[in-house]
Amino acid sequence: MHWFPEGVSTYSGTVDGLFKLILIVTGVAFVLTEVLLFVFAWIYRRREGRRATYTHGNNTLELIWTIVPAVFLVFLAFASARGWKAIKGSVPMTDEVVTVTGAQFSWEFRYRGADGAFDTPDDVVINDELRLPVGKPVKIRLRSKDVIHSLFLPNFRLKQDAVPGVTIEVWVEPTKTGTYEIACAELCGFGHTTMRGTLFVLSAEEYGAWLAEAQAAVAPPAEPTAGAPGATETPQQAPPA
Amino acid sequence: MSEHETPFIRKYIFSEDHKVIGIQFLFVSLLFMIVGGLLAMLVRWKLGFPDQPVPLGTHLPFLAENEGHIGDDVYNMAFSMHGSVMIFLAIIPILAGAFGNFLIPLMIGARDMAFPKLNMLSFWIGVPGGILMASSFFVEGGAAQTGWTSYPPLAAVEAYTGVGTGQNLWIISVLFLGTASIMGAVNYITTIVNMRAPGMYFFRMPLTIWALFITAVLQLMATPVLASALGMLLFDRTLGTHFFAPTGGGQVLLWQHLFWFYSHPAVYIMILPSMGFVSDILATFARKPIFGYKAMAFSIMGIAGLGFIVWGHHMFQSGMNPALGTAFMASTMVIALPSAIKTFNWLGTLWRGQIHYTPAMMNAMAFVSTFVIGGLSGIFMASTPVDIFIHDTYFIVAHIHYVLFGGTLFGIFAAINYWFPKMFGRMLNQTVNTIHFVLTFIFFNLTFFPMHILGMGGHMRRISDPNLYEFLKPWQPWNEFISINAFLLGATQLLFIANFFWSLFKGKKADRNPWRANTLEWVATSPAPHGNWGDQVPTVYRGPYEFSVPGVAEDYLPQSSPATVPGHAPAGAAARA
Amino acid sequence: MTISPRTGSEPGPDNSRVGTMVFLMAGSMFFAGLIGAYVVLRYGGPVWPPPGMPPLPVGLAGGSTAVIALSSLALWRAIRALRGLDAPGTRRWLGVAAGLGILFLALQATQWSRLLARGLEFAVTTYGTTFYAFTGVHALHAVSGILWLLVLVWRQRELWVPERRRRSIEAGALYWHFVGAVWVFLYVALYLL
Repeated sequence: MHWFPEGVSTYSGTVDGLFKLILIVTGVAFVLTEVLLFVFAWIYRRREGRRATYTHGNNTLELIWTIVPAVFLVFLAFASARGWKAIKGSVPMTDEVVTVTGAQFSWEFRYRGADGAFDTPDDVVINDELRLPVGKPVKIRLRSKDVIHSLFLPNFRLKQDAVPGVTIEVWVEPTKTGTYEIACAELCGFGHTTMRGTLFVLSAEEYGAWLAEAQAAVAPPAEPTAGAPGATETPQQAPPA
Repeated sequence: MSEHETPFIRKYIFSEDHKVIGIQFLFVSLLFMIVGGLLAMLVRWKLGFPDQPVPLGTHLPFLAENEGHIGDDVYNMAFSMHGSVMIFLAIIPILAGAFGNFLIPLMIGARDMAFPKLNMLSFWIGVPGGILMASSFFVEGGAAQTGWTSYPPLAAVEAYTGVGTGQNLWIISVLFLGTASIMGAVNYITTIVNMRAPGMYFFRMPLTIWALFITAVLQLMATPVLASALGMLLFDRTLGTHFFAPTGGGQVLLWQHLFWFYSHPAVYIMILPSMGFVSDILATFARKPIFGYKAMAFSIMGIAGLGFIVWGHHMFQSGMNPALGTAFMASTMVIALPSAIKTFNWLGTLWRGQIHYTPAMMNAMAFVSTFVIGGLSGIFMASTPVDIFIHDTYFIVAHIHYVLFGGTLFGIFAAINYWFPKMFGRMLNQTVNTIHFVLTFIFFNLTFFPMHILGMGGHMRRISDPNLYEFLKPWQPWNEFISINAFLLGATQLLFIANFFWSLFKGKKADRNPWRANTLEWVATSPAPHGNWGDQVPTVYRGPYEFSVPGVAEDYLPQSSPATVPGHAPAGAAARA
Repeated sequence: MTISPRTGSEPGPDNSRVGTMVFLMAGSMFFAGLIGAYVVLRYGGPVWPPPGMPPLPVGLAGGSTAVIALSSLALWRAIRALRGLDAPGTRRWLGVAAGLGILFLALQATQWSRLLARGLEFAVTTYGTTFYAFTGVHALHAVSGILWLLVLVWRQRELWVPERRRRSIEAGALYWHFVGAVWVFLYVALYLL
């Protein structure tokens, strides 16, 4: 059986690899300590005529069992920092950009229209369905209309809280076409469970065709509109501490 | 002291005796633990059987209007209040309020706390806190639904949840409880610093006292920050301010920083006393000194100090600057070390011991076993990239419950088994509590271990119906399995409750020192009288772990026994505070 | 083998002194939370004060800072008198400290009324909220400290200072110095930075 959801992004391997590394090392530690515990529990059960060994400890052992875990943890910290920097530390240059807005209780996915700008009348706006091309990094501009939500793409190992008042940029590059699920991973009210979406990863051609069709299908507005429709006009703030 | 003249209300209700106050805290917290446990049963019912109405649900508030079904909003209330009640009304009051109060003067050789009136007040300020939290269920809109973490904007604006008064009551309740905590901390710290018996140097104090001392320092320094945050949240809710609002100059993430600045030390508040109990209990029933006493004491201090600089690990995915995330990851990795040191020292304490299997000992050993799992699982979430995936999944829920139930609660069971004779002058039935232990250990592991697997599968937290998600459907049998074991785990606790109350009245009368232990509380009678020591406060001649000393006939040598041992310098004789 | 009972037999700082200092550590953390929040709110946004909002009266607040500092000085004189077994002197200087405390509050109230008149509201911006809420919370602490001092002044009419009152005066002095020190931090954070 598969323990993890199938990993289909360029960095899902990094995340899973670190998980497995930690699992192996902690697994060894787990087996060692539990075996010792249960063995000691059995062989040192009280028996007539025996007396416990009077000792207050051993400083050499203290040093060993401090330094050995420390070495592993330092290594793990550096390996993790590298992965973290690659995934959340920066966003690669790409012209595939989607704006995602969480709201109670649905996800709004917004693509630029022919004018190449967000929050204009010709944007392609779809609720709860996200389409992405395989093999290209996509930048996600994540926002929230009301409370904190969290965009969770399990198969891509992507999770990012959506904070009202801020636009947070993350990225992902799908490696395999298919249909995947989107969930909200931060309690956002009574509809939190229902804030589900579907992610379709399409081939580059299919995606291009779909997007062109979607852009063309955006009906021109009946009257000229003055500002960005629907989007929250919140002042852009500096990145939170 | 003319005790027979003290009116009932001064002796048992508004008592200034630390032992009575400790027992008051014990009863009230155990009651709230039952409430918290019942709320968990509701959560597990919904997760295991999302479409089934709760049995007898048509008669229960909040469920009746939904034909016994748990609605999504009621579900949110259930887990939010489960966490809040367990943390603020059960675990912290039991560890600090009950055991801190009862044990500190007895174990350091004082007659009572430094400020007995303040002590009495701290209980009676905590009680309204509990009443307010309980009453929040019965107001319009019900109790808080925003998690025990209460993040704004969800928790700052009534319109987002429909909960008005209930959330305000939650905030005010925690303010009361926090005030009681701080008052208690002032008392405990002053008492330990100033009122130790002659010869009770710092490095002759039992680890239980070290743990309670450092825990009090944590409570003292961290809780006020939570108070400031709660005040701001209350203002946002009731006075229209914008502390945590996305407009008006507010910062949404500010709440998380302030909240976790308290709540991370809070989790150490919730584990350190139990670690202390376990150290003393393991030593007593292995008939051996604790292995590495000084390392253990310094590890407690290390955990507490480091505990103040790791709070951001709860916020890795929050939108906080990723560089900060790396910094918090580093400190979080470091804090794993003192816990590892303690675990190895507990094993060292068992090594070549003469282990007596009392319920106290079994629960203490279970603490070690499950704390290992809880602590190791923490390493996964310390790694920022791994946390991207497992944050807000059941992997976290597994970790929380392994350290809080597997750790803290087994430690509490151990402590109650151990100190019940001293509190009430009677013994608990050992057979019943052995069965309680075995069943609890089994059902606990069967309930919570699979949650790690669910988390690996991506199962989110705080969702009411996993069946809505295709990728979670294969895991649903695990949810059912977990829920069934959770119900069995809950039912098993009836054994403990029944034994507790039965033994209060019918338990075998306890000796002064039924466990043949070394620490000062066992010098007092069981139960101890007002003033603890009669005419003569004990004098301390050695450390607390002189078990199986070569050349001493008995396998224990109490701290206050003046006996000298030829050719053997008692540990710590030269160690001055 | 000898035992050297260090603890419990030498007079150390008494419980009320230790307890007060411990309590003030908690108090400091409370204000640290407030000041931390202030820093995040102030530097998290683009402009502070927000456009149209009046600046804070640095001079007037400087005056109230000086007043509360003098009041601590008076309290220091009171403690010196106490240690010198001069009960009337203690009473006198406690009164001066309390009086200066009341003057401090009056100056704070003047700031508030001036800013309200100039349009700084409580809830609309965090600029206003942090000012009123944090100076307000501080003022509440100051009120409790002044009341404490006034009660001491009222009660201390004997020619000697009873032991229990001596402890109360010492604790009250620590508390009042704490209130003054917190104000200095608030003054620097809110007005000078």
